[in-house]
Amino acid sequence: MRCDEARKRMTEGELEVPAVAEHVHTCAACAKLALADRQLSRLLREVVDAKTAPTTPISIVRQRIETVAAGGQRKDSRIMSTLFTQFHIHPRIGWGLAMAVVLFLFVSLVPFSYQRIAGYESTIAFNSQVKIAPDHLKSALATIGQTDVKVGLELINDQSVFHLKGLPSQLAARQAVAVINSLAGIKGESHITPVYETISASLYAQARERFIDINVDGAGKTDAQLESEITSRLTEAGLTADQVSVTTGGDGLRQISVSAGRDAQDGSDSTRVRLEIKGDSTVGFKMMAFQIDSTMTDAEARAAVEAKLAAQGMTNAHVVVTTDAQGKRKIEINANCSDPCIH
Amino acid sequence: MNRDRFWIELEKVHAEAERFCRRLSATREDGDDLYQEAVLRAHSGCDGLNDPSAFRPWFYRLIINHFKNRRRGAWWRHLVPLTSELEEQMPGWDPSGQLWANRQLARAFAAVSPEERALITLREIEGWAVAELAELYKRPEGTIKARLSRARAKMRKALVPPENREQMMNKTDLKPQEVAVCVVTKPEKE
Repeated sequence: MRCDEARKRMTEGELEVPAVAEHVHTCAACAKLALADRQLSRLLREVVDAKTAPTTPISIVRQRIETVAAGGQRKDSRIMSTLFTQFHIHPRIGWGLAMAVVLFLFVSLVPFSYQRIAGYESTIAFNSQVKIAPDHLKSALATIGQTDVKVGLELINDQSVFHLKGLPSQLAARQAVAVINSLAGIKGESHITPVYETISASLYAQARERFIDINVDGAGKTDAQLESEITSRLTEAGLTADQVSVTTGGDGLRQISVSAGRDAQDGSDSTRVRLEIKGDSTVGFKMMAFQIDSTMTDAEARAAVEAKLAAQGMTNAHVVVTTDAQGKRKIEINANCSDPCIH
Repeated sequence: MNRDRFWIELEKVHAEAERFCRRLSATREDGDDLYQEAVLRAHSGCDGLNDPSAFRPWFYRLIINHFKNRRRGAWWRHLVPLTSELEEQMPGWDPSGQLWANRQLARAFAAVSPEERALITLREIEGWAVAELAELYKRPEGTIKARLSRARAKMRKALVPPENREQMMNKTDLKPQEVAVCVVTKPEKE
């Protein structure tokens, strides 16, 4: 007989069976186990034979239990007590929750200093002396809503250099440059640079600042209205809407094509943009949102868009992502699906 | 089941259930606490029990579940493993006395899970039949027998001295398990 078989039968209480006993007699290791087995049986028997303490009268137990139950002293009935009991029973849950709270407080409350764009400065250099009347310049800038811009003029030899400070956005800086070019009558060489400021804020606040959320409501709007709204929202967010087109096909489905870019000059490489278009269900709209990080490669962006489309049930979508020489990315989506959706 | 019926049914199993709780726990005080908490839970939850004949297995399941929860909680109170060499140096060490027997049994019980401890206690000490255990755990008798067999094998292995255990493992190519755990218990005062 093999050791494992002997041990199995020993466990089943067949230690005294001749075949098992014979094996135990010849095998030292199994003999020690058999000894332990007998010892265990003896120890358990001693517990059975031992005198037991007197039983608590049932009347006393009943009195105690009913006192606790009637007096409303049962802690488990209270939510907090139940929670504490659960934490006591499952300490890992308690520790996990405590860690999550600490992490949340750390992320949302503890400030860290970081730099963010406070505004923009612009320099326009002309190769000839350009003279623009200050009042004329002021009123021209006011037409684009820039009344607080500080303008300086520097004359170097035959060159005129305009310095514009206090521009709130990159779009405003571009518009101001266009205004000065228009007033000068010639096109100067312009540079737009962001102005940074160092502030303190929590990690959560920092993350929120890098996230641009654009919501467009497409319900009850014509293609042109929707196109205009998407363009204006993108512009408000500091993006350049290179191409926005909204068309409704013969099957009643809308095709929306958006191509937007952002100058790398502003240094916000990791800005995330989420374009969300909500539609009227009667005209066959479905909400879609894409998160494309500017640090992603074209292949990564394409994979992200395809994954999102696949999650919405559009597995046959054809996605093309290209980046031009200026670093502007274009995403084209062509999908066919039976459900109302955005193409 | 209403409250009056609950007390009638509890009275039938009161003595054996309280004794079971004491034997299941390390000390009599722990056993009494376990029993009272189980009765309290049963008292508040007896409305959900429709069949009074199922009271006994229902109540024992409640006791066992509560025992498992108590053992699972308070991990910081778990005792530090003790080797047999250290144990022999402890005051009161007497290989022939009751204290030694208690320690040996505690060592064996420490090698099994609370669930297995309850199973062994019911079968080997309380004398429940396998069929009763099968009804309690709602499992086939074969499963209960296998569980009993595994639990007993673990306890038996825990009683083999460490040096012999190593020799035994080498012979059978079984993976050695760390079972040198000692839970110090106080002998019950009669």
